[in-house]
Amino acid sequence: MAVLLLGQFSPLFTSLPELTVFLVAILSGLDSGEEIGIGTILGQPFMASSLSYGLVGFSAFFGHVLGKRKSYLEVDRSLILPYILITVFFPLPALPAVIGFRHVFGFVFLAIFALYIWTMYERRQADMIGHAELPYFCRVLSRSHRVMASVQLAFSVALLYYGSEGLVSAVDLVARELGLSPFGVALIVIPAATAIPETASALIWGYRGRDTLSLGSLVGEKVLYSTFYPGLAMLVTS
Amino acid sequence: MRLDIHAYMSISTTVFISFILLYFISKERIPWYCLCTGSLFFIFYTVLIFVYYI
Repeated sequence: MAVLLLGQFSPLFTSLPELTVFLVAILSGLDSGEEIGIGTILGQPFMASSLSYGLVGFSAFFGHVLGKRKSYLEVDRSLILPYILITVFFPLPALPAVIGFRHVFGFVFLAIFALYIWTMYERRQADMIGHAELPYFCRVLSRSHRVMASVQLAFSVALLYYGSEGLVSAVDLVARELGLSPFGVALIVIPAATAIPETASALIWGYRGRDTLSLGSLVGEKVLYSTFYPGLAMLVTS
Repeated sequence: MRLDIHAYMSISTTVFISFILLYFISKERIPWYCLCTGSLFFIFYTVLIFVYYI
């Protein structure tokens, strides 16, 4: 069960850069911090729907032109449940802005995410994790796995923090200097940077004709951004 | 949580694309050009932000 649930929680780990940017933005003390944080949360699904899917489409097209694959993507119907969840729940974070009850909605969204994970576990659609790769530090330095894995984790978290701080202050500066909306700039710039890993893997899968994997690598995080992160944002922002 | 025109545009685009994909996923076949629809929204939105300062 632990392995199966870990598979469903994996988007939580792969979306750590966005989570770090969100937390750094709202805790930065900048006037536009909250707008940048919320722009990050709402921007990632927008980026996946617009740019990432578009690039996968072009990748499939070029794969077809080069004779590597068909001109369309053959996908599994198992993707229907996450897409229904995204279509229904992604617009709902706009509701508290109109009718209030922000904290109630926040808890409801977190509960829906927990329910989704449980449902996927029950239907056994969670990803299995096979043999995990050794952390990079262990391979290079050949020391104790546990120690070097901890060192690599601490190093990565520090880099994430400083990178996020730089990104948030850069978005704030660009928005102020050019007279643009910080929300609008954050919505485009931050997800464009943080969505690169999953977009790259979706492109590679799409080009090779592994279509369900290609869309699946993009949809996992969108579920998170339709339920978990809006819930978190409603609870921690003013 | 304060939402403005940017949030509503992001939400409506995402939901629109998700509806299209949901339809094609139910048929288990997505044409490549259907996936590219979202790119038009991205270009349109980028122009609105950086050219028209919306």
